Amino acid sequence: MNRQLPRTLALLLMLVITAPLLSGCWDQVEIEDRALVLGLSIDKISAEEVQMEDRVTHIHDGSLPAEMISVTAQIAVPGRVPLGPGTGGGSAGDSKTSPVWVVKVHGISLDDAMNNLQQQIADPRYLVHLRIVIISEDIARGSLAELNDYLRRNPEIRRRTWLLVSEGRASAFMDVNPPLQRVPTLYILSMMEKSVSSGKFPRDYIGTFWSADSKWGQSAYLPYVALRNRDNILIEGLAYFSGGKMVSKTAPIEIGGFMAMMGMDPGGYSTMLHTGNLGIVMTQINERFTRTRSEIRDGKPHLSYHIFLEGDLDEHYSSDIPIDSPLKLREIERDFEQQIQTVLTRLVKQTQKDHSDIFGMGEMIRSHHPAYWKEHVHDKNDWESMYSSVGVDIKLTLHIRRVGLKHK
Amino acid sequence: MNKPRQITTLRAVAVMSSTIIGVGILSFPRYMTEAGNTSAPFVALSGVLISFIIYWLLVSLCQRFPQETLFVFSRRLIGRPLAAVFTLAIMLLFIVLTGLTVRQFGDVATTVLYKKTPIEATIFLMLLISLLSSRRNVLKFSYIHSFYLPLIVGSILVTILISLKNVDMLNLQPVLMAPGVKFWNGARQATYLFQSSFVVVLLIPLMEKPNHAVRAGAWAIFMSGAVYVLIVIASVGMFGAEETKLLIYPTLEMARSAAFGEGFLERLDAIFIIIWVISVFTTIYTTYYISAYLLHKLLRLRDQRMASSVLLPVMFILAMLPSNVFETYRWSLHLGNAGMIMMLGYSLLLWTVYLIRRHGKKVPS
Amino acid sequence: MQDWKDKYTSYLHKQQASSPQPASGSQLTGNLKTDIQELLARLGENGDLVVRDFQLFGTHQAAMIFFSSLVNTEQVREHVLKPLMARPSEHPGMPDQAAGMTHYIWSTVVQVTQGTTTADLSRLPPAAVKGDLILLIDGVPEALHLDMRQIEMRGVEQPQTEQVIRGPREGYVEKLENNLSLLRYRLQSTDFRIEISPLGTRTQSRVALCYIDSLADSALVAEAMRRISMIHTDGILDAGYIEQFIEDQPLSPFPQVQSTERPDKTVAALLEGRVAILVDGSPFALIVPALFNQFFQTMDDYTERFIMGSLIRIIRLIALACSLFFPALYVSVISFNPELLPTDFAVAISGGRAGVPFPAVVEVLIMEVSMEVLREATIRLPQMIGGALSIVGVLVIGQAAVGAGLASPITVVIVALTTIGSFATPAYNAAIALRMLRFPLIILSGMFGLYGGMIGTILILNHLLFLESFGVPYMSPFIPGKWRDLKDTLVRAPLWWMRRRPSFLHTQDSDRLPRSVPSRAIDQILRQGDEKNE
Repeated sequence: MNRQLPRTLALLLMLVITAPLLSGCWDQVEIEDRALVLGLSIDKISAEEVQMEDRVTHIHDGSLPAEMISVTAQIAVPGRVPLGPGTGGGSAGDSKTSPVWVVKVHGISLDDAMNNLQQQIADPRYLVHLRIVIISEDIARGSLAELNDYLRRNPEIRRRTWLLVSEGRASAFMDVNPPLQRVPTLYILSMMEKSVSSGKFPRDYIGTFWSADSKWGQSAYLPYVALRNRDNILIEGLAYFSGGKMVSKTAPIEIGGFMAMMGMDPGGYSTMLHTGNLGIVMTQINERFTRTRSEIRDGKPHLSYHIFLEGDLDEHYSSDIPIDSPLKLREIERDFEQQIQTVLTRLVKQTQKDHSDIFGMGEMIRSHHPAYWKEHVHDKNDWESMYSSVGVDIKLTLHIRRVGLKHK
Repeated sequence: MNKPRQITTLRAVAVMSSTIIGVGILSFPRYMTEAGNTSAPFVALSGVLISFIIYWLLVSLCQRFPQETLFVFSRRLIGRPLAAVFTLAIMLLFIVLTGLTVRQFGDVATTVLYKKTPIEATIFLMLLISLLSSRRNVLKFSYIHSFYLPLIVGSILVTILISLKNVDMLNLQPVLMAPGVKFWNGARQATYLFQSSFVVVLLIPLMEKPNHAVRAGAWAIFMSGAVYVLIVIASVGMFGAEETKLLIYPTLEMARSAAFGEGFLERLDAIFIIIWVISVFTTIYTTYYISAYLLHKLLRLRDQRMASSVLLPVMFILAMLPSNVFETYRWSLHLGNAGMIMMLGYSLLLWTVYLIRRHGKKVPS
Repeated sequence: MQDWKDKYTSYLHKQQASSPQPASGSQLTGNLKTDIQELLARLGENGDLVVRDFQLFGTHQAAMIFFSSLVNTEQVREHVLKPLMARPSEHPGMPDQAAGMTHYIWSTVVQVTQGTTTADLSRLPPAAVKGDLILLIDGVPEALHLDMRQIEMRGVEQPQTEQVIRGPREGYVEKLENNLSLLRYRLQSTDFRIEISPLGTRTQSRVALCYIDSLADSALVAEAMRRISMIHTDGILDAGYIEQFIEDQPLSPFPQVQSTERPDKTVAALLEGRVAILVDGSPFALIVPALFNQFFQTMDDYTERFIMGSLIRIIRLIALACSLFFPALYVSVISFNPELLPTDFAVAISGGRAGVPFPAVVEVLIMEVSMEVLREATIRLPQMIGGALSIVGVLVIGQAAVGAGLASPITVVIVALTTIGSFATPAYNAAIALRMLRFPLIILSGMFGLYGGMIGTILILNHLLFLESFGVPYMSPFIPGKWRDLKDTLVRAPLWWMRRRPSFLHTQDSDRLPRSVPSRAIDQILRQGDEKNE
């Protein structure tokens, strides 16, 4: 008995200590009680436009920035998205049964806006399933530092979220009603993911954007999207950045050019070109491979790109002259190489003019010529200003392997 | 049925490796990148080499006393009081180490997983399971480690392999930079992670082949070192050096970005967090066990149970002491420094005395 | 009969004395006393060995030696003992000398179909374990062995709890003799020892301890005897009583003693060097040491070819993991970490749960408990009603609970998977352990999410790693492990590849297959062919 007493006491003490743990469940929030924010869009509004801020996070506006943003969030409504394969379905157009709830708030910063949003909705908001953030071009052309800081700091945000720059108002994207998917954001998401897997766009998540933004020898870029016919979303090009601000955008075909320069597979773009003898043809690029060489020539960095492409003949616009011999294919290849080379050179020139090294040429110099880099580059600005004077050679080699089912 | 020496060399390797791979894994790439930019893998590698040298210094001495632990033969070498002082110091070191490690764990858990769960609860639970498990003998202690090690190493390797797909070799170049003060500082910091390989001291008297202790340590340090180096390579290669410096837990971000294709197994961080909890447990378990063992020997308690129960509140309070994340990290760096100095100093002292004594003995014989 | 304490001490003495093995091929001396002693030494200590000495025809000293579990004692009495014990007057033609006695007995007295005489002592023990009755006569350097073998098969049925697709269909019955004869019939080795003694001050139930003398670790046998000898209770009604007295950790949910209804399984365990304990009146044998590994193995794994056996074993393990972790994982993902789900699925699940009033923990607990109740209810019912009830139960729990908004459809799926998973674990007591352990896991997950579940899992795993069964670590051969022992764990290696017995049992003879010859017939044939060609 005597020996048992201390043990019993110890056990009791243990129970007393552990008992408070049982009252736990601190973080328990059922999935249907969470406001899962699936998508966000951020627009800029001037201070005059909105006088009333909700004052959830602060009282005095005095020392805070005057510019305000408007954030539109798309929140999944539990119960509106039916389980399993569509039973009934088809009610997408009806606003009453919309599977998402679109909430619009204003705020000085994104965090401020999110707090305002929380003040308006009952369920705690969670960003764990945030898949798409769309910012308007105005925002992108301003500084993204605040936005990046919030998103980076927040552990709920994943690096595999997409950050898109929109033409016009970003909030319009939150209202699209695509027939293919019940949830608009998920539609945009699957569109981006599929464009990656079909070679239409580089794998450019927000994490990639951040990494590029941090690197001294590379400038960041983002997908640039636009709305067509109210519900259709078009990838309109790359929005590229310099010094953390968007400077310009490319044409859609130049995305293909960019991917070719970077040697990103699979190829997804078709090119329509006017050949000398054969009229107009279209080629589809399937594989890309790029060999890059860097050197310091006369105290200046110089890069040469050799791009190998493999593709098929897609269409022969005016088929008077049959394409039926290697020679003719060779002819198309030559014309293609010449024309695309000019496209690429133009793209490089354009980015050089804008001081935006989306190709990461600086990284190449940094890794292959560390001594030169150490001497000349001391921060990101140094390289971006130096970038405009970098010499670039581009050489293209296209191989057309197949011509489809038609022999001539 | 029970042989006295049952810990095989392989199991000793397992104990050390699973101890070494622990809470530090999340922020390790950041330290290394801060020290060496793109040559971070080399900083880590030299850290591994240095830690092996420290380990070798201590353990090659212990090997000469295959029947006893360090705490027993040190009494004969430098006298009972001095040995007790050093043992006490080592014990304090491991007690603080346990506290800080569990605190770092709690910080991560609170930041990333459970915002509202009080850090006290997370920490207490972790300490509690270490307490419950550290009441057993060394043999069982080694079983636990050898069971969890394959899980830990296997899943970390899988995560790394998946992440390797996104590694851009450019980010890792130039591979070598001229080692400066920063480089060696980083390497020194890397050795802190390997300090718990000290646990082998407890194992030696029970090892099947005590003279394989150094070899076991080499395996353990180089294996876990390889895991660490791979993690550095993967995260620097994935994010680039500059971005890695910005992230507080680069490895976690790496695991969160990794995915097997789209849709299917989209989120590997669940697996990673599970494994990480286990690896933290094995680390804390070891340091807890060493502390309890030493306390039990120092106070000559009847068994280890009492010692380990007494330690729980101490460690809990220690874990609650740092007031913020940065302080925790600063403290653990200081602790690492202290640990390194002490291990080196103590083993050098013991070696000197040992050599003198042996010399003295040899002359008459 | 000795009691268990004496058995234990005498066993220890014997182990220390290490009696010199009698030289094989020794002849019978003709001295009855020494011959019997010699024979008994070879047969060892056995509870079912009968030595019956009697006066042959009232004139000669003679003795019969046989295993009571292998022969029909009734027939022995009727056809052997009775005529042999007849008065000399009934046998006028009886030879005067002892020398012709065996021939006389064989040709005129006993009414047995098969039998031979031999003068070779070493041939007698194998004959005895085969089921022969050995007749020794004083003054005759020759023994008569008569085939009296009859295995008592009365009431032997297919085992209820451990059914197999392919393999023997015999299960134990309540009578100890029957069960022992089932064992002897499968294991006709002279090394097979059965020690029988009563246990229980009031019930005096006969308890049999079986082991193979040349295989089982003597320390293990001694330990088993010691533990049995320490039981002081007034009643042993079933093998389960003994299990509870001799297990290592009564507080552990995991069974540390395996119980089986199958003689073939028992023999397989004996051949690995384990010890089996049978009790009169119980159709279950206890096998020690029992390890975690054994609980997802069935006889089918070995009778079926090894690839199928391995695959099924892996599936069983997945089911086992499902039954333990699935609900906890579900709770923690739903209530704590929904970020771990793919987005589409998360949105869909939150839709399914929209109308459910309870948190996931409560919901899962309600469903799991009602499932357990249903399972428990159907066990005791007659089979026909049981089937009907389970249909009703499934209907109620599945359809109606969802319809009434008590549970979400996904919870029902999870609970169903869990239950089915737990049924796929072959050992009933291990399945119960895992089923019960999932409740603390669910509660921990409900408190701390994935972290809580992980803490629970670590606790369970650590407990398993600390556990021992009769001195053997419970998780062997995983931890502490040897590579070669892993052949019979997650997968079942081909029989011809498992050349050694499990090393963690410290068997006296570690080789299952001889090392010198290729183990597969086809290899030997090929080798012979090669030799011929050369």
